[in-house]
Amino acid sequence: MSYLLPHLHSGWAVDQAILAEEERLVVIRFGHDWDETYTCGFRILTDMKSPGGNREYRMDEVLASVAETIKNFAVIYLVDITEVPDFNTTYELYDPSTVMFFFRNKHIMIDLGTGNNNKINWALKDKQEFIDIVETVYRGLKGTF
Amino acid sequence: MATLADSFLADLDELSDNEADVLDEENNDVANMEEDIDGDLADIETLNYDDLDSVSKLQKSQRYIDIMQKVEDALEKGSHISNQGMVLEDDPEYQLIVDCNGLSVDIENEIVIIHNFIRDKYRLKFPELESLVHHPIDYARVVKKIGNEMDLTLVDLEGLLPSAIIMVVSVTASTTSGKPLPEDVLQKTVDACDRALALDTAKKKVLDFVESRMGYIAPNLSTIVGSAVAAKLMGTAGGLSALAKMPACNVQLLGAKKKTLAGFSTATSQFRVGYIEQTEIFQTTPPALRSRACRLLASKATLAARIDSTRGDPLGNAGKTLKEEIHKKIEKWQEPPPAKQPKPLPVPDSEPKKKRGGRRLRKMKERYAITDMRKLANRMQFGVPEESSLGDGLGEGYGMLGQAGSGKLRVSIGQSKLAAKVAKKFKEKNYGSSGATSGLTSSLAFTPVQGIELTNPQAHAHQLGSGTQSTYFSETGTFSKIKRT
Repeated sequence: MSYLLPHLHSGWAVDQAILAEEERLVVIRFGHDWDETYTCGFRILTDMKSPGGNREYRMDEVLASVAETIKNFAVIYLVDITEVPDFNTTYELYDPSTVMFFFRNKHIMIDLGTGNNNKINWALKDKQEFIDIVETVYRGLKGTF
Repeated sequence: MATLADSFLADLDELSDNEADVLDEENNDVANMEEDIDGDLADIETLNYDDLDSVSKLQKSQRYIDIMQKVEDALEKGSHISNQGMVLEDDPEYQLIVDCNGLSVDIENEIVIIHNFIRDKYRLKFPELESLVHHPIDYARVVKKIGNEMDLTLVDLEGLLPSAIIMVVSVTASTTSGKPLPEDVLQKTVDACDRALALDTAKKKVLDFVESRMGYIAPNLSTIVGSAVAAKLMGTAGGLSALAKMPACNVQLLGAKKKTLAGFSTATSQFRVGYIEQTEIFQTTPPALRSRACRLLASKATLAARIDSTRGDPLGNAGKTLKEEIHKKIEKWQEPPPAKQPKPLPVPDSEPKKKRGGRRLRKMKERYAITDMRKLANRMQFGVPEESSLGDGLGEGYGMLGQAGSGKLRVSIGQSKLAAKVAKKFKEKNYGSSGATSGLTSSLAFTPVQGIELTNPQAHAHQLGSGTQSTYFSETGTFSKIKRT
């Protein structure tokens, strides 16, 4: 599924992507494409109980399926953190999959009830839940411009 | 017409069973008929049933014999190429075709007459048969097969009728109230059956002949519906020009069977389709589209018939184009609908919600509106501690609910705004006594809403003028809007 979404291959690309969007929310997933247990959603693995915990394997799948639906108000990018290690310390990217929201060059904080308002650092299973989150963020932002 | 009046007289005579007189009338009739217009058989026949020949004259008529002869010759000769240069109407073959069309209509009528004859004769023997077997030719065949037999198990009706109907016929025959016929009546009946069958074969021959020539007569029509159906349509309509004059909805119904037997399912019977049903195009369309296809076919066939009747396109090209059109249309109907595109969500809050208003919405909102009781409970008096459900500030607070000094928690529901308006209107209608009062009546009125009401009899006087006066500046008008706290 990762092949369906655009990748950013350098720190500069990430910056440019965040700066470029005026009207839309920028959603960036930091992680690895090959992290089968956490990011990609090959069905073969659904039956196996892999040691990493196979609940968290569908993040990329969710993002890819949602991308077309929310393209009017959000754009999604994927970043491989071994390829682009520049942000690992600033954003504390230690989880297999981290999703962060940016708008007009600003990082957006969300109250997810987890205690960490900066990012979504688990893999969501539900498409609708993710769409709701993005829509709520966007609504919150609408008042600011 | 003299002959018509005579035939009616003959009916009256027949009722009194005066055969001799009637027969004389009959012979006169026959002579007159053949003198008048050769082969004009459209008159109402006399009802004397003793002699078949008096009823069915067609086979004896010269016209019939001539045309049948020609048809046989033509059928033996096989198809021949027509002369190109000749105008259609002068071609003797075309004339023959036209005659054949007329003849086939006449044969049809004749068969109906003979059917009536057979039916009336056979009624004594097996009255229920006529309601079971409708088709005249089938009826004739069955009558011939059964003859005078009382026991239907000895009679084999296989092949003449569908097996369901054979069963019904056998069952009905076992309980029939009929009696065997006398020998001469039986003979006459069987003769009539033979006559009917002969006419039927003659009609088939005529139709075959017309069908074989159809490509020459009406090339466009035959391209669309096929020559067999074209021949049948022309035959039923009574000629190409008659067919051309018909509106398409009638063409659709030419040859439609009318009755289905009571008790048999009508689920499979197709509505409103005639000979068009037998065309190849109709048979190859899926059942769901058949009624639409039928209408389309009928309309294009009518167009083709009109072209043919004026000889507008002798080569049949218009017919081919129309056929292509029909095919294309039917293809288009069978296309699957366009695939559903997944629509992206609109930007949130970019499209403002369409807010509705009006009485209905207000009434709906009333159901969830904050009641007065809740309003009172939400507020507090300054400096006065509120009471609570569990006492001492625990539990839900009652706010101003219990505090008006009354000591009661209950607050009346009060009237909603809408109810107030309605009540006011109702009051104004004044169900009390009006205008014309005697001196003994009181000003007290018993109204449904308020109970007893004192009405001001002067108030009515103003009401009449109120339509013309403005309500805004009127002295008797009320406040237009009162806000309730």
